[in-house]
Amino acid sequence: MMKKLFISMLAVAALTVSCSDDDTTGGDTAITVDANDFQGTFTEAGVIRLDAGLTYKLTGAVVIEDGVELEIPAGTVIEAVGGTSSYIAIAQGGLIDVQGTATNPVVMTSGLATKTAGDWGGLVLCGKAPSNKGGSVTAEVSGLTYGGTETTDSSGSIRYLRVEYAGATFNSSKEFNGVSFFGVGSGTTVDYVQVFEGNDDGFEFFGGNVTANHLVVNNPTDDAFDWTEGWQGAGSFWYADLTSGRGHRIIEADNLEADNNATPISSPTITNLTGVGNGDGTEDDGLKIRRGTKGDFDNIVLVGHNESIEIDDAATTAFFAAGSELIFTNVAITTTDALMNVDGTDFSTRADVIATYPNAVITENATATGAGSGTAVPAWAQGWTTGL
Amino acid sequence: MNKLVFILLFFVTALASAQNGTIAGTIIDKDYNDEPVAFASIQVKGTSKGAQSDMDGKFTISISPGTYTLIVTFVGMQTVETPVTVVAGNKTDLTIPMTAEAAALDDIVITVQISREKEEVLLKEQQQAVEIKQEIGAQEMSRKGAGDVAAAVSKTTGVSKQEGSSDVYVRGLGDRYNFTSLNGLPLPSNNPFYKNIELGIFSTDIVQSVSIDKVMNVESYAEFAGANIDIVTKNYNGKGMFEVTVGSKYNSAAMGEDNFRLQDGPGRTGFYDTDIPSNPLGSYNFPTSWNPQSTNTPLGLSFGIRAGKRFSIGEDGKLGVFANISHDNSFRYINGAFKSSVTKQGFANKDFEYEDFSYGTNTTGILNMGYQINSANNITYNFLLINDTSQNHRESLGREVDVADENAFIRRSNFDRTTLLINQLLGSHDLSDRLDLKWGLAYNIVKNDTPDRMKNYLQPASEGSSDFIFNNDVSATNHRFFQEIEDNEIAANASLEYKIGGKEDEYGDMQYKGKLFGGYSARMRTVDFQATQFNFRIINNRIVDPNNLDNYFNQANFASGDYSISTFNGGIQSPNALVPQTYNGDQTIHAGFIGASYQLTEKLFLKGGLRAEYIDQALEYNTILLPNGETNFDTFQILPSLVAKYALNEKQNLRFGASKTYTLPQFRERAPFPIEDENENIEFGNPDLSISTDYNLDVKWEIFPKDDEVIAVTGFGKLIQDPINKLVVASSTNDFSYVNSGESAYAVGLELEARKNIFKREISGEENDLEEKLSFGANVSYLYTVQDFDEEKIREETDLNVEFTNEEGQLTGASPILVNGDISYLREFDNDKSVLATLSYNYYSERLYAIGTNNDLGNQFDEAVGTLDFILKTNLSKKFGISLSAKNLTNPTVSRFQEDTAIGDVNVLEFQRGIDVNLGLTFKF
Repeated sequence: MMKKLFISMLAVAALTVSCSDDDTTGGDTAITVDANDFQGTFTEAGVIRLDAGLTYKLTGAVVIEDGVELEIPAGTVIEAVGGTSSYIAIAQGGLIDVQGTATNPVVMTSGLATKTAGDWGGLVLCGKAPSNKGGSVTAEVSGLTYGGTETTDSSGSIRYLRVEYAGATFNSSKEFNGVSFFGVGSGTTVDYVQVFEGNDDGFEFFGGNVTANHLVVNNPTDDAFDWTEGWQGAGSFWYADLTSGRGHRIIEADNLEADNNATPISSPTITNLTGVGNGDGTEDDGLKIRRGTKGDFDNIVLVGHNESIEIDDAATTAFFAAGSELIFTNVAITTTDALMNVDGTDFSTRADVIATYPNAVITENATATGAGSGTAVPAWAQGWTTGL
Repeated sequence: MNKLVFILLFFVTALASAQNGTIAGTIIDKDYNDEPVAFASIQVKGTSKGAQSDMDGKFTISISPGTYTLIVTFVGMQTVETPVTVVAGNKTDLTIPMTAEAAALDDIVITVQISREKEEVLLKEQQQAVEIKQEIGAQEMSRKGAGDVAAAVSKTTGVSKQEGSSDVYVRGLGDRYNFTSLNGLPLPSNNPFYKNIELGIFSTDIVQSVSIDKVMNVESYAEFAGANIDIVTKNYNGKGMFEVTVGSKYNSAAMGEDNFRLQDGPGRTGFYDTDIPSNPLGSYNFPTSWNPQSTNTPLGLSFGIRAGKRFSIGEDGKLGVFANISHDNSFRYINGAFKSSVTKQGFANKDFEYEDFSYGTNTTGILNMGYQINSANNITYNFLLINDTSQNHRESLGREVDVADENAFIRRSNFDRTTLLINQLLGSHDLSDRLDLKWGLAYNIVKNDTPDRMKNYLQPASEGSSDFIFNNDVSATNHRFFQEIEDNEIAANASLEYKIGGKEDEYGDMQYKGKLFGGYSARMRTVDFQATQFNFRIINNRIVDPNNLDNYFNQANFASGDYSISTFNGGIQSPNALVPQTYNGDQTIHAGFIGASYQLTEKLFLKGGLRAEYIDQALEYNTILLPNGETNFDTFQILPSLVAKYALNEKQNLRFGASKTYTLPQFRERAPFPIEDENENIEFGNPDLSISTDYNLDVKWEIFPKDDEVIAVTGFGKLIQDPINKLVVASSTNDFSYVNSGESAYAVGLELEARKNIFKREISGEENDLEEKLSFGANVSYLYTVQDFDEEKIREETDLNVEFTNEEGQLTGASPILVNGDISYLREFDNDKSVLATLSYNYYSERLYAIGTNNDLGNQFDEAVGTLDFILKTNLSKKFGISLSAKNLTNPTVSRFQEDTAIGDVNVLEFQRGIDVNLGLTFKF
């Protein structure tokens, strides 16, 4: 009885939230789901409100279509048991509302007895913000369409969420990322999200304008953060720990593989980043900045990389050389190897870089704080996360 | 190369000289409109010389100068004797009229068995038919050295073959736009990648003729816009034959390879099969080795036994039986290079050189029984069993971005086996003088298995290292794959023909000016596909020996947790991990047709009709991309056809053909299952793919100067609505899928065909005249194609997005210029001794391979290729013959390039196939 009352109170609270959110078109028709068999493509306008008291078994794909909202209260646990085919995707016009808290995060994890990276798909958001792949693009997973012209589009809000053991393989050359942002607009809130034991990249941005703050990635098998297709957003307070021995780069940054000059050009602002690498010699650069991306990096702490910052390809090198569109300030490098590799050439010191690229902007600051505590786990990343 | 052809031409022409004189005549039936009398016997009195008149009543005899008497005889005709004078080097022309023996014809029914294997006979049919026909018979295939049907059709006008694949293009229209049938009943494909069966698996030994119908006739299938290719199997009518052939096959590139590598398991026979082992996820149970197995002598072999006999059954009945069992195998080695994911800047994200080892087998069994109950009723049963395999082992070494700048190593071993079982029962019955019935039933089963495909991906342990570790970016890079497809089809046809416009001739026989016809045909087909891939996730990566991966992938290392095994549905803990990815297709087509054929005037023949088809295509699927879905469409199509022939004179015709046809999407093009090819490309089907509608128009002029000569010019136009194309979808994965990519595609073209004797003469032999002949054949096609691309249409009709680089483009695979040429020299030395030498040349001009999409990436084009073959066939005695062929003599480089990058064209594929030499011996008993 108490529980029911609590749920209806929650529902009323949610109603208040969704009424204030003018992106919600579906009204407040409640859509019920089976917690023991959570899957389906939801197209009828309405709200799916999960119950924090239940553990949801994700047995297949959950696709939230236009006009539908998926609301996940603090403390809800979703356990995926359906292998590659279980994932959660928010289509264009659909909304997600993850209402975790610092003490009670939402957890999406593997439901298997022995949990391993790649046990299930991951979280996929598709929005209407631009991708330089085209005006309308098909997501590599889920087959949903994304892209458009609405830079301020909203796919909802995600706060305090852990995504664990995601990254299932879906064809012979591709895997899910922990969280994939496809053309997600700046109206979306992303704050305090961890990807733990993911089987590919932690977070990947495919175009879009979303800002994502307070992100944690530990033990991925590929890169911690990845962007491509003209991402124009921003990120602040990112912490990545690859010391488990797996994983490649802290950041892999592209404009676009197929055409390095495609527009709009990726040009995010990244501040307060700590990247702890594993220095294992295979693709273990700290920041791999390539394929025509721009970027403004400030307060960056990197440790454990054979090459801390690598800049590849003509277009990217040109932005760096010009010193205005690809800049690095307050960088603290704790490594015995090269500071930078630009266009195939190693540079051990800042002075060497400037000698070749006199207009380039790269400044060092040994006391840079990165994500907050230098190479250590920052305070904001403690409590709601796991495995750090 | 052209030089070579001309030198040979002049050389052989120089041999020609005339010593004898020639008698050339025509035998006509004076009692019946001076119609020619075929198969009359002509003897030169007092000599051993003689001839038989052909279908036009014509004959020639070469003889030394002098005055002679010809004796002309024919069953039911009065024998004629006529004097003739022959002058050296001159030709004496004669017309010899014959008259019927009184009342004789009423009692005798003359059945003339003509051989539809012969070029002359097929040309005659082509001339006389109301329909626009193009056929290649066994004789022409043999002369041109076509060992299989694919090679045979590529020798005909407007047809080209995709290098290194079974894809045949007719008038620039590829696999999707063609249709293949066997004796008029549909043939299933042996490969899920293609709609049509690989024509290469039909050895020409079992084929009587192949017709390439480019104009739809309402009584045959309408699912084509290029051609309906009908293979007619041998029906035995002779007195009895028994023939044994043995041969060897040599490929110049393969023979040079002393370490010829193939995967463990399949062996040599082509009858290998293996299943997923028990408990594949809980322990390491795969029985075959990961290590390639080496072969020393990659020399192919072939043998065959053929027998035919005709039996009499009762007074009127005859049973002709033809049986064939044959096996051949061959090796091929290709050293090539490929690049993929080439950027606008011209940078290839994958850049590999590869070695490709392949071994194929084909075992064919055929039994044809033709039972002629009496002159009015025939029943034929055809049984065909083909077991065709291809085994392919490829090792690629090169660069992949994010893996290794050099020495990334990919190994892929594949064994693909198709077993095709065809049963056909066909009947034809003259129900009355005016009413004929024809029917056919077919039950076809195709099983295609890919058991145990293996793939490994290794990379240097660190940059520049010569040690290898596993590439582990994606757990699927090291895998084993099992796939099974079963395709069942039941097809039935029945048609009635009723002669009209009858008029009694002066002898009281009815002559008909036309016929009415109608009928029904049905096809019911099911396709069941399932696939499971076992992905080997490397947990403890370490240095391994690329040639001894068994040292890593074994039970001990599995138990110690060095690697894990899972499918796309998960590992040992996932309850549905072993549930395969599947799709199940169900297609039903009911068709009814009516039509009429009529001779309107002495010169004008018309044939027209309507075909109505109800098509229902349903597909259920459960794949990693889209679980538990289904898609259906049904459509009702009204398909008219009209053909006309206007006989300008007895040697020339003008023809016209117009029809509406359709093109269906294939099940695998609609099934969202990701298929990975050997060049690392992935494609998946699109459930929203729909039918295309085709409008076809042909105009043809042809002249037949002699029986074995033809010159023809054809103009054609095609409009294809909602054409289907395979394209790279706008997505970060760069995968291919299928869409109805625009409103319409147009193709217009011109075809020129000529078959002409350069010289032909009779030489006096001991018994019969012997022939010496130098002839050439050539056909040239010019094709212009254009199609529009419509991104908005794709977005509206499907869930996919495509960004086109251009607003319009050519049809893929459509070479603007196709040339086939051959020159043949025949010399008979004795009744049973002869030499036939043929030089054959094929050329296709640059053609579009892939349409440029996404971020203004350029089109991919295949460069022009010309190939030259030499074929020598000899009969040394009545019982023994030797044949030798050397194909792909110039061994051209086949290459593909991507246009419009910042650094110009980038070569994305390059290989040479090597020269193939076949030596064969034939023993006849």
